Amino acid sequence: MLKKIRFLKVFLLTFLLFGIVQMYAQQKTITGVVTDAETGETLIGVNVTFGSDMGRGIVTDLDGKYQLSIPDTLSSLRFSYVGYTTQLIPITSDVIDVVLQPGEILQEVVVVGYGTQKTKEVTSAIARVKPEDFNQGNVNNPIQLIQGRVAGVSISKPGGDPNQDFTVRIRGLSTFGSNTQPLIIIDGVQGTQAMMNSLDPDDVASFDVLKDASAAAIYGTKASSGVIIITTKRGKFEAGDKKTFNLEFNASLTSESVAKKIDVLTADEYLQFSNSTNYNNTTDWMDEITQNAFQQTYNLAAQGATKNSSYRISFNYRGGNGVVRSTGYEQLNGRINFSQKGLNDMLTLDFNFSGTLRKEEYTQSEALGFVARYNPTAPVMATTDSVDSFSQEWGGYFQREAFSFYNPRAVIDQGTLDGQKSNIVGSLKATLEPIKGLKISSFYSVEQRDELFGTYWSKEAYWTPYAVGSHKGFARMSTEDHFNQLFEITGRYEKKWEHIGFNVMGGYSWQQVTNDNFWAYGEGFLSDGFTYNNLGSASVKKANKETLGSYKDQATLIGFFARASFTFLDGIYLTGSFRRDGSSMFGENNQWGNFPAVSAGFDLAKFVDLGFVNQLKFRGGYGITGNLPPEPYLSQERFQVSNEMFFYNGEYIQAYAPVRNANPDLKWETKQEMDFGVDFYMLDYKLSGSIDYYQSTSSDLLLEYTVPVPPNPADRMWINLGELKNSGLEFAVSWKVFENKKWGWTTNFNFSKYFDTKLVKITSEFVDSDATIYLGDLGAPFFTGIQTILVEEGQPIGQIIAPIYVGIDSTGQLLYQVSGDTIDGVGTTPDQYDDYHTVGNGLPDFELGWGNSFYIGNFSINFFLRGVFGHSLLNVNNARYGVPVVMGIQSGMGQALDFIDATNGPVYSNVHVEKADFVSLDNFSLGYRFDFPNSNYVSNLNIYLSGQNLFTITGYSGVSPEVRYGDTYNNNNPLAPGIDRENTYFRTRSFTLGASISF
Amino acid sequence: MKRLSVSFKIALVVLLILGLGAQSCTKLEEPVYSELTADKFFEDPDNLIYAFGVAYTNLYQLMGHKYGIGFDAGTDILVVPQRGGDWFDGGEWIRWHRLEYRPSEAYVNRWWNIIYYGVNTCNRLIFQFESLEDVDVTPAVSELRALRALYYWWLVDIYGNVPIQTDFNVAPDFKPSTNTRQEVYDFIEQELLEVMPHLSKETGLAYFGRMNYYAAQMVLAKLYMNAEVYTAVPQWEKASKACDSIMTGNFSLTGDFFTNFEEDATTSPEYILGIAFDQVNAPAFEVHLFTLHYNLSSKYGFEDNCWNGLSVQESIYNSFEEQDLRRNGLLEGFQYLDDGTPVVDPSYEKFNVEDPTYIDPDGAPLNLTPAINMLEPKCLRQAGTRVAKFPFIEGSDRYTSNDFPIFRYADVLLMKAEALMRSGGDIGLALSLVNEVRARANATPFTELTYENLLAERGRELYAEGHRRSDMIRFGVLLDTRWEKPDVSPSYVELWPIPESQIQANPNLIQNTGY
Repeated sequence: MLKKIRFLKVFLLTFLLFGIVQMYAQQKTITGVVTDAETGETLIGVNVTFGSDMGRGIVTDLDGKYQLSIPDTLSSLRFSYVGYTTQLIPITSDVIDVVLQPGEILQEVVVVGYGTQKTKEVTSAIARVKPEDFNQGNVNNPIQLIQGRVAGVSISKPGGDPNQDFTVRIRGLSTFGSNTQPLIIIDGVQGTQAMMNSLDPDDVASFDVLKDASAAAIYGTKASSGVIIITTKRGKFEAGDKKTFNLEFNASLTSESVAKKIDVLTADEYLQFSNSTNYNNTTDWMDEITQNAFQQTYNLAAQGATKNSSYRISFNYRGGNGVVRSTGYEQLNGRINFSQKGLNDMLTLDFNFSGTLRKEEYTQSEALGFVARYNPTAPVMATTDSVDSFSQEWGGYFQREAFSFYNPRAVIDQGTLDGQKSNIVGSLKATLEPIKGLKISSFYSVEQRDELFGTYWSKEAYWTPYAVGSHKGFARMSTEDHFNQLFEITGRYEKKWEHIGFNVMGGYSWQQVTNDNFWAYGEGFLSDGFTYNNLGSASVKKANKETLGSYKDQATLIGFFARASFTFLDGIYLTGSFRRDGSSMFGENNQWGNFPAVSAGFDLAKFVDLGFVNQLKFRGGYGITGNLPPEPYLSQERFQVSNEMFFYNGEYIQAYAPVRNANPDLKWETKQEMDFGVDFYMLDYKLSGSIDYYQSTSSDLLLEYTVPVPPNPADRMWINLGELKNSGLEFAVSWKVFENKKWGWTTNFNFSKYFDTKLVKITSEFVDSDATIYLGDLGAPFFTGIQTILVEEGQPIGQIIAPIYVGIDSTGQLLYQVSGDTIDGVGTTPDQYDDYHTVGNGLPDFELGWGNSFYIGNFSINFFLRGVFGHSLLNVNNARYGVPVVMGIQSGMGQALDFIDATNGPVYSNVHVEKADFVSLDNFSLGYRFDFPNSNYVSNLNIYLSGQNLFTITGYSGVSPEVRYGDTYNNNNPLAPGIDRENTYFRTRSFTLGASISF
Repeated sequence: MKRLSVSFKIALVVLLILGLGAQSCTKLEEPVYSELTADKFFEDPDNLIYAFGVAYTNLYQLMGHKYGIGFDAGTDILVVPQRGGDWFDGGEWIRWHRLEYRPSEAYVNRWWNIIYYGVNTCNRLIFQFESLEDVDVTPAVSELRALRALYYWWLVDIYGNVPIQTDFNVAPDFKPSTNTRQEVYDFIEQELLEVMPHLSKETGLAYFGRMNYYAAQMVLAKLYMNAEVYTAVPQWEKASKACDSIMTGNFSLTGDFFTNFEEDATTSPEYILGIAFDQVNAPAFEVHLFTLHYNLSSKYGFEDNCWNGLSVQESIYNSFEEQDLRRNGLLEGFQYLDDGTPVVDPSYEKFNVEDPTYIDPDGAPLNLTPAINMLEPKCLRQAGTRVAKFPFIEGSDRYTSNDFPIFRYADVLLMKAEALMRSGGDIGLALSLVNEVRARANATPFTELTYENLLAERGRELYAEGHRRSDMIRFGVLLDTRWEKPDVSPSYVELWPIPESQIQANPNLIQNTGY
């Protein structure tokens, strides 16, 4: 009855504070002894406290004993001691002896594959991030919570597009392109970053990143790119007969703006050029396509527990727009995590379910490139001065018929690009513990993700992706459905004696992934009003494969795995694991692969007294992990209808040709990694950190090669041929410098050094490919066939090549170092093969992150700096539009002013490849916490103001200095990093005001 | 809750494990839903014709693309000048015009790859057909061999010394070796003579775009006409006989010259071998965008922007008589929309004090002048007449649907005339054949035939059809100086280099001398 009333009052969401009248009552005396749970020894100096501020109390004496006078009505006493878990003991008698468990810290666990392990026993490189270290402020994707926080994990996104994914790289590049994404596991459900996108950041309880192979090998062929394990918040079973209930509500508002604009010519600068055309207006095209964005988030979470059951329910809403016009999103997400014990605590059932609905709006990204050259004297809409029938035809936007010249505002306004995504993830786990120490679990999960996209270009759009200057209207709809089932059985047994302990685990895993796509296209609509919702009314249906299409594929993955860990004398640790994986994606000769791992650790501090060093654990590990092919069926011969039809007897008929050869030897990619590290705790566990050195060799890398025809029927084949070598150094430290009731300061620092990723091998005598591959074609206009990235056997990945600029001669010709026969080695047309040299590298050398949090009374201040160094970027806008010659009716980049005397070009050169080292203040927040200890309802209220990307220090002239890990114009090819393509979304700065209240 | 006995606990454990379902626990096969695999494809004999098509559709990219054979670059007819920042493309068009080929040129590699793809497809299909039982594959195999001979004719004409490859069943590390030009010539001749009896003499829609008897004779004629170039031994008599064989078929010149280049020329009596491009079903022909000025897309209702590239050199424009109807295939002069409004180029070259000569003579109104001020670097945007031989089709998008004649009858008449002239045959007959072609074009008949006017006539008739380069070599004038080609070229450029990437991939190949 009491519980119901409490519930009711809570749901009314009152902010009223009630004072509780404290009656001065009778006193009584309590005595007792406090001992260590593991050693049995008495503990000296333990704080025994009570009262609303826990300020009243006593400490235990040299014998571990205490004696205390307390008010009669007091219900519990608090026992706390550095290095031990604080306990709140209910007062049930006059003598209370307490046993304290050593260290929250020493009892801490990390999640390793299929289980947990005590942090002190871990012998691999695993990083755990807890909520106090999460990034704050405008965070809309869970992975952003740990951006920059984990050594060796590089998370980047060049701009602030709310609908774009982050690129996550753990310890560098270990594949050519099959799967550079790490494996994401959320509460046991294995999936990809797409599944993670539907998880609300407010539901995340912790991240555990399995960085090295000895930790990740338990996931076998899915683990080469690293594993990120996410645990969501759940209720905790309550001891005794207590029932608990918590309610929390958060809200935040964010305002976001463009941090840096493209450096284009202003109207005045443009008019200096002799071939400019003046339309007598002044337009800042960057302003025309951007806006100030607003976002809001709301979450409500309720959590409750009893002895046998616990639950957490949450509802989340987030929505807003992006800084480029016509971008936005709205997401509704609900989650329930429920656990129930039964059969006398022998059986535990965990049920998790989450559903996410997300609507997205995208902008036509080509407009971001057109902005770089649109005439700054042209008006946005055709005014009466410049009006002509041509502009009026195209919706009134100013337009002219000229080469590569399209009104950016019109391109954005006249294209509708929408997406609707739904993601349901559900799992059920039953764990049986028939004998103490033996646990058997059965786990089944399902993920269903449906994405629907609709795009429409108006009849009045001058530019569309399909045609220029057509009055038809173009519509396309497509769906992408993804169904992922996982079934796993694991058995675990652990036992500990005085000096030896062991833990064994074994299991079976079965996963099936099905993808279904469908698309339909039509052009020629009577009215723009239908947009893409009446495809059947299209007057023209392109009679080739663009009209309609569907596709389905399915793959199965089966694994058997086992792991055993031993601890000796509480200071020597040994772990070994093995996994055998088979996949339908592999060729029939190589269906099963083995992935073993072994690691060991030794804590010097347990055997030798090291003074202020509490733990100094040396560890080393070695493991083999694998990577799956990028899609199913690659080992099979494939025929394809040619785009061009054959004219036979008066009709066009389909022409079929083989496009891929069978490869029954196709198998997984293999990565062997060795890691040496030190984990340490110092100063009474206030300072913790680790250092790691790793070296890995990725071999049998898959790439589609050109093979000789004959004897092969087709000229393409997927072969496991390549090899990459990677190594690096990581350092992370976290220090609670100061912590007391009044103020405190914690600082964390992490540093990752990436040595060059070396391409050891990419050819063999059986394929037609070269030891040298050129990538990064800059494309039209002006640069068709100009290749800017060099991939060469024996050399590092990521080399950006360019000719070397020398100067301008007296006739205004641009000059470059040329090796052909010229006087003094200088000429005007550098040769792609002879005159291009390495001028930079697209991958970074090192990264660092430094975070600090302070609290002063109820104020808290937090800031986080992140820096990335050693990478270069090719500024494509500058390369294309950086000389006067390209202007006319079109304008160009500010760089053209540096080349104002040039009379030829554009020529791509080292001038356009710049160092992009940067440091940015990723976030800065200020918070204040109101406590209501005397209230029965509200427990606290937190208000915060935070800013993101407040400043970035960099020498790079482009819009964003973040690393580009892949070429966005070429399927994100990871072998071609470092090119800053024109369609990059802008980097943003945002301010968030938020409040959270818990009951 | 009662305490459960140990045996019950064990039973629970066993039940959980049995939940595996033992059979399916290691099954890994997956059906393929959306693709054809080899076992399904050749099951059905009706599928054979679909496999055939790829050997022919390969021709689309070879002829219709801007780097295609059809566009007569590097000759005295067509050119792609550098207009300021546009069409510089690393200097490749300039080098092409001046015959300064580098083995690393993209187009040199591109043609090699496309032609050898054709050869390989023919070899693969011959291999696959010959292994079929119970089917008479002789007609199909003969057609494929003739098609392969056509591909080899381009190879011997352009690259000269190339590997002859007929076998599909080779070892995985097989790398073919270079054969001499003479060997390739002999191979082509032998192949064609062998399959000739088995080729169909049918013409008409069923054989449009396919190798029949007449198309094979045409390849033979081309081979013999250029025999002196390929082997240093002329074969004018044999060339003449091959032309006679073609003339026994019921070919004739169309009444209107331009009928052969329209959207649907499949019923033209003049076509011997052609390609039926179609912007939807066989998209590859891009002459309309390649040649027209940027501001002409709306005049012709194109759904894509024009590129202002391919232009016609002044010398050939001037070589036409005023009344020659074929000159209408060169778009020139001021341009107007259908309602009479002049087409305007708003980015025309305005007066620039630093370079006063770089200025458009008549300002914004678009005037395509026959005179081209220079090849590079500052050719005027509006300079040069454009290739309008393929009548522009309203509503074309990225590709256009005009048909393209690889070989046509007018060429046969001109070749016969040339063969007669060179072998000291009936000059009167030769003259009348050439005048037949001229009469169709409404040009005044020649009174006498010389090498100069015959070469010029071939240019006027066959421009933008891909014959000019080999004609100029045969007449011995390719290396001469001409407009924007101040130097006499060394004789080795009469052959293209073997592409650099091919030599790197295959050490058995030998580069042509001089490169």
